[in-house]
Amino acid sequence: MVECSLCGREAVVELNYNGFSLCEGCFVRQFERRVRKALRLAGFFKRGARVLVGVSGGKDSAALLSVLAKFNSRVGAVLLPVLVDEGIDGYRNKARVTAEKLCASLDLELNVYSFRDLFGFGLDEVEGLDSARDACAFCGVWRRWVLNKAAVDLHADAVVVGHNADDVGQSFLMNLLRNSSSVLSRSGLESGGVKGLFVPRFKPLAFNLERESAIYCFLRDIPFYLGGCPYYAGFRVGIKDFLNEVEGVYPGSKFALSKASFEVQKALPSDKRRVFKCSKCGFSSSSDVCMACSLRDEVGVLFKKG
Amino acid sequence: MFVFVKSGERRKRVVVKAGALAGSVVKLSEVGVLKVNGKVAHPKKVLKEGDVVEFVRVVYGG
Repeated sequence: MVECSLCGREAVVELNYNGFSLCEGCFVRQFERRVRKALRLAGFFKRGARVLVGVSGGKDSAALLSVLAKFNSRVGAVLLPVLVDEGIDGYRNKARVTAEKLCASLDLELNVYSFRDLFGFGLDEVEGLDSARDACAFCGVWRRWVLNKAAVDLHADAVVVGHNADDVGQSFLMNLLRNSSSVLSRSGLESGGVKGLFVPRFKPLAFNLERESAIYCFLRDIPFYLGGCPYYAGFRVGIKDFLNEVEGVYPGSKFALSKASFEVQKALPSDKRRVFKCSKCGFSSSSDVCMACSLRDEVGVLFKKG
Repeated sequence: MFVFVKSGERRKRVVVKAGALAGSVVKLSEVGVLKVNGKVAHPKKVLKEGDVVEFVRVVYGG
């Protein structure tokens, strides 16, 4: 029997990055301790705070919502789970069922915002419209916009998403490779808010690896949808595969990269770009019309051409 | 002795030496979690006759 490095009980998890083997109890405690640390640093999770939780049905958001619900028995915040339905048949509709089951088990109501209701079309209709760009290029922008809209509708003080240490490291590497220092200065534990235009966004899972979210869910019997998005494509795919390979050979690399991301973000001057109010939707924008609205207009034109 | 290696809904019977470790029967990587008989397991868990070993892929895109 392999013993837990901390308590001597039977270990069920091997952590290659630090050589520890952990039992179920010690792993769960470690996972939750890291989330607690992120919440403490962020500072928004307190009594009465209205916290929108982005829930996709996947392992990260399932773990996040479950941990927040567990902590919330002592905190007294208002948790507002929101699922963004991009209109990907065979994927999001199945994940939604799992998300609903999870919320029901936690006695929370799931709010669903769908692309089809908001924009008149889903991602299935967008895929293939533009030969130069795949659906993935539109999806992230629109999902962020929808989450912000939901946050405004639900009067949320903060938005939390299930971005983990893998995601943080991937984004950091992507932005370095693109020389996007302005994005680097904005990407940390918190994406700062702009009053009335953009509700601040936090990543409480930023100190846990992606794989650890799945292990946490398995150990605590938290339901989540096991499957990948059929439209997943682009630069991030290659970066993700690369980092997983590196981690396999040099364990600890992902954590080192995500920590480096936070340190670089602290060291860079804050982003002083002017923030505009989008003339179409009224949310924050870097120009007269925000990216989400611009892309919607482009898709509208493509629909008419097609 | 024999154990089963599970992949999706399929199970394949595999002959292993007594005392074989769970992590030696499947290919491990950063994209999945090792399970024995449906529970998360350490790669150095010693297998017993008839155990069902599975490497569940959990890291996808999107």
